[in-house]
Amino acid sequence: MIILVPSWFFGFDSAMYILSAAIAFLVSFNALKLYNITSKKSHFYLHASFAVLGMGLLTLGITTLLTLSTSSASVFDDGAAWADDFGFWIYYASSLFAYGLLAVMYLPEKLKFPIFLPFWSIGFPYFQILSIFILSYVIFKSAANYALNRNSNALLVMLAFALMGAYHLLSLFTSQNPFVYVVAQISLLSGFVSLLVMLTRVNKIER
Amino acid sequence: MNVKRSRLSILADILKLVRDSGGMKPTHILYKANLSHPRMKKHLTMLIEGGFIEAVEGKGIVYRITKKGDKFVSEIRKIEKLSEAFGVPM
Repeated sequence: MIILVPSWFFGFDSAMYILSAAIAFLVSFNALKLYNITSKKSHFYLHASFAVLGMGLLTLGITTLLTLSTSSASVFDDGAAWADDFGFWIYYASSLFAYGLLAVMYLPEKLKFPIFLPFWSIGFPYFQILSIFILSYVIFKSAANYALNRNSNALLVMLAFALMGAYHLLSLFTSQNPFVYVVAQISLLSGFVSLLVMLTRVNKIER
Repeated sequence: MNVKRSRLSILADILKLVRDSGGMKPTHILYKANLSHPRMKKHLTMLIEGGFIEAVEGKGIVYRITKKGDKFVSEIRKIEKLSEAFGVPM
């Protein structure tokens, strides 16, 4: 599948992936503190999912940056194209695994089971569709949590997952118009910024 | 709704009570934390052994929070908020 990217946007997407990865690692670190105190499996899944997601996004950010720096303005050489493909494949696999962990985290204790993702899911349209499918469940659970608690942090988490879902949905249409790619990237970064705002609120010192 | 409190949340509740009051008698902890006497005693012993509270003798015993306990309450509050935000109970 062809992904249309506006030339002026080259580099910005890499920066967005790296920034998103940094925020994912921050969430993972905070969830690790939670797990260290509670030793609950669901808290470990939260920590692991964001760590895996962060690694995938960081790999993608670095490889797209490498591709950009080693290719001429209009032509990708073989090495650069390989690095780009490698980055995307790592990202596909790690984010699917991370979303799977998030879904398992929200499953009731008695229903928790290991998720085996079909191999064929690691292809572009399948990846996006499966991501949307898994994230729909995660968004539903975070929306239910917001409806129950009515607190701003829960709203920010729900918004973050919804924006991540929107990123995958928009990514399905990146072959139609280059601008869709830009909106999709902004949607992904906004989702992670929403998580950063939530973390800032959570870690605010109060008496 | 009857929700069984975890040991962690009981300890955090006791610490918050002791911290907010600036010092609390065991009978007040018993009522405000909604605990039976043996359970309260067990939890207070754990908190004293961990260095989170200290017993001060005066007109009877009063429990006061230590610096370590104060820091722990702040950490617990943060992780409680994180766990609430994601909807994964502690």
